[in-house]
Parts: sequence; C-alpha cells; structure tokens
Amino acid sequence: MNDQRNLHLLIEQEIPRLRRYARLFARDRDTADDLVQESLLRALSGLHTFVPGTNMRAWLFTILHNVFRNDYRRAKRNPVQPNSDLIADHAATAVRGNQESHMELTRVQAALSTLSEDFREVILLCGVEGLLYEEAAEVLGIPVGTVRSRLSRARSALREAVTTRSCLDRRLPAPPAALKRVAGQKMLSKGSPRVPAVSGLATSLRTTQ
Amino acid sequence: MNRSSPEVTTLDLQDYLDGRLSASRRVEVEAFLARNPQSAAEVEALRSQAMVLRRLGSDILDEPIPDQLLDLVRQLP
Repeated sequence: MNDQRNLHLLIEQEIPRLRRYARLFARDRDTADDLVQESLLRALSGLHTFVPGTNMRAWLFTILHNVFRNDYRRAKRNPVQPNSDLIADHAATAVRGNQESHMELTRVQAALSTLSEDFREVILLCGVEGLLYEEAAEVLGIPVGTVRSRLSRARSALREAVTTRSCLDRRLPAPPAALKRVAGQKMLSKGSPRVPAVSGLATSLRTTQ
Repeated sequence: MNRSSPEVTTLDLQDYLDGRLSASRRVEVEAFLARNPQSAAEVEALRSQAMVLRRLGSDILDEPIPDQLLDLVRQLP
C-alpha cells in the first residue's frame, strides 16, 4: 500500500512537466489537459507494469506520447496551422513581457509550433524537458541514433523558423538564405552561407533598411 | 555524406554541445572550433537556442495543477 502511495506521489510530481509537454505539443489548453488526464488514467491502470527503480518520467512520457499518437492525431482536424489559442497565448505573453528575452521565448515557441511533429517531439523531450537521447529513444520507440540525427535537423529547422519569424515580427523581409535553405539538410562547411545569430541578423537587417 | 570538413560534422558539434563526446574527441572538436570561427558561431547559436528552450513553458510548470488531475492520482484504489 505504501509502495502504491509512493508511486502515486512520483506520478503527481511529474504532472507539471506532462502538462507543459502537452501544452506545447497540442497547442491548446483544453486538449492538452484532456490528453494529460487520459495519460494519467492509463498510467494508473497500468501501474503494475511500471518497474520500480526505473525512470518514472520516461515511463509517463512514453504513455503521453502514445496517447498523442492514438488520440490526438486522429482527432485533430488541422494538422498544419498553428492553433488560435496559441496565438492568443503569445499575444498575452508579448504584452506582459517587454524584455527582449521574453520576446525571444515567445518567438521560439511560435516557431516551434510550425515544425513537424517529429521535430517538435525531439525538441520538446531533449531540448525542453532535458531527457537524455536514450530516454527520448525509449519514449519515442526509435533508435538512439535516430534521436541524435533528428534532433540535429530539428534544431536547424527551429533556427530557420525563428529567423524567419523574427523578420516577420519586425516586418522585414526574411533573408533569402533562410527561405531557400532546406532546413536541417545543410551541413556546416566553410563555404556554406552562414546564418548569424537571430538577434544579430535582425539588427543588421534593420540598420540596412 | 555527412561530412562538412574532413574532421568534424554537424552531429559532432551537437554531441559537443550536449556533452556526449569522449574527452579525446572533445579536444579535437575544440581545436577544430578554434580554427573555424564560422562553426564556432554555429555552436554558440545552438547553445543560446538550447538556453531559450530550457526556459520554454516554465510558466506552465508554475501553474497550479488542475483539481481533476490531482484528484486522479490522489485517490487510491
């Protein structure tokens, strides 16, 4: 009984992270909490399959991921367009925070929402939740090497998306390089066009306008 | 080919950033970065992106957990 209680406590501690992942992934609040609720129900009913001493966080994220796969993807109607809740969230956040760092956070979140699900998954698990590649591989049911290469491409794609978005925000034309480049496929090389850090790029564009 | 230069790939740079290189490989990558400011800038851009990502949704973590979720895990069978 005490074991059971401890496991429930372990689960409870992870709820904020599950909610964050769900919110950033599902893009609207109600859907996100519904999916977390469904995941918790499955976790509790399948608690006997949890091996004590193993990683509760990874176990719960695996369940959440499966719920997304099975329920959310089937249910959602509009797989590509960012949800209006997200945009409203961003507007509210943007009004609240006038600091550049807050703006950047908002920009990155908005840019993230434009990426494919595969990319968002690895960014959220490894980049936001800080899971190891091995843990993310377990959650997603893919090899560690796939996590590694997908994460690399996702990070490039996110940088491209942030660059494009920051130009949109400032009503500046996106640099042709950001539009033309196929995100994630370009390897670093001495000869390849450099994409400068986002803030630096925006500044340099502004001064040339 | 996944090679950007004879010695260091984009994935190597990511491994470097994520602390997944062996000590000897890390030394090689650092030497490469010292010779290639463009790649060093890439690493810095990735690093600053990683720092932003760490803070993403931290406001959600601070929200009170909705009652219907708490009730679920607090009721024991």
